[in-house]
Amino acid sequence: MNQLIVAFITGLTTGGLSCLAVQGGLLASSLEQQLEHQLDLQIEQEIAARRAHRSGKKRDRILAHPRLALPILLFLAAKLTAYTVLGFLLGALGSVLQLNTVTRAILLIAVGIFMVGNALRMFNVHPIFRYFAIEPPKFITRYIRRTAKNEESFFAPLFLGALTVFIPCGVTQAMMAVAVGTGRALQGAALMFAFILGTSPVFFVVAYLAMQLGARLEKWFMRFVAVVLLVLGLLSVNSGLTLIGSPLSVTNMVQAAKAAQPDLASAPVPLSDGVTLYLSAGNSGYSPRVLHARADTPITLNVVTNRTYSCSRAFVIPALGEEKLLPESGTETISLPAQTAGTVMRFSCSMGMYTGEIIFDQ
Amino acid sequence: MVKETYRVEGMHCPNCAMNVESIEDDLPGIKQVSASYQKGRMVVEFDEAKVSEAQILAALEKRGYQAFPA
Repeated sequence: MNQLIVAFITGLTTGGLSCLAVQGGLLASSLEQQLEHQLDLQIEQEIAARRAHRSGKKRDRILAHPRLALPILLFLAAKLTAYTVLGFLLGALGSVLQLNTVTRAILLIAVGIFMVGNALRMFNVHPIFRYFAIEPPKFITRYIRRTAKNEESFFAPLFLGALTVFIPCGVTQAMMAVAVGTGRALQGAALMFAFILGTSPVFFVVAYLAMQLGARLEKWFMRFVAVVLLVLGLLSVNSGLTLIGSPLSVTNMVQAAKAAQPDLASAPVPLSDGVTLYLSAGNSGYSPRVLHARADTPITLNVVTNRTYSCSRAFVIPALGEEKLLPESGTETISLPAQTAGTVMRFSCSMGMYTGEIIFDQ
Repeated sequence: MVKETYRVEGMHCPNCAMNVESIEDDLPGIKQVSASYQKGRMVVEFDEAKVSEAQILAALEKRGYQAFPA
């Protein structure tokens, strides 16, 4: 029971914001379709009102109150269900199901391209971008139309909410690891349910406030959503590139441009001597961001955590295929094979949000 | 029974395709409407004896869309 309460509180505090940063784009995509639908209903009503005016009838109130809470709730309900099922599977299988770094990077890049494509569609750049919109199968639209006469669109928020299961944030991954550790299906399901339930209020409040404001600003807001989608999409692609250690990612380019950065993390670590390296994984990133190691010598990397609850706990070195879930407090030792001089080995959290590098010198 | 294809203007999202298809419920002579937001088209299967093309286009306009023979 205690474990469930801790999972809920973790979701409520760090999980909500962390997941919003990673999965916010999918929520924006589903709401964007709902907003467009509201806008179309409004146009229909305006046409009807104009006709009524011409024929001398009393003009009805035009604006429909946008029902934005429902798609957000549907998105969150689908997400909750999908993660509960995932928790069940993780608990039952006890291991395996974690996505590896490359798969996750490909997914992030794909989701990013999907978001950018949707943004360009909303800007009406070219009809080809219409193919980025999720068009549900005909039998589903027919079913929705026949059964839900209120013409709300349920498919996109439900589908996209369930899709978040493929792009968990670092905190969620940490919770997934705990679900694996439970070794029991029902306990794994309960744990993920409690955690995702905890993340939901943050998701709902941020999304609802943003969308309420937007509905009043109508078309301008659609452009705003498109811009947000564009930015989130590019960030997602960037995270994917960072995750596979690509020098093309903006994060890594900035990293290369400003070699030494002031320390961000809180945990103080001993100085590295070139053979034994110390890296602090704090709540706001890795410190120091650039480590220097001796070339042609096996290196010992000690990653130190001290009450670390953020994404940085899911530590990844793409070049080595190394992936570690660090303890909340403690030291994880990783052996690095000898590297030639000039090698730059990048590391990051598993979603590519926090980064750093090890430079092998002569 | 005839099957005609139309280019539809005014669809902004996949929900619009669903909206376009709902003219099926408006006119009894229509057997089936299949609209695609991605292609910007709709295919209407209807009974010429019960409903005319003009009635179909008018029903569509009422919902905020314009259609032209493709």
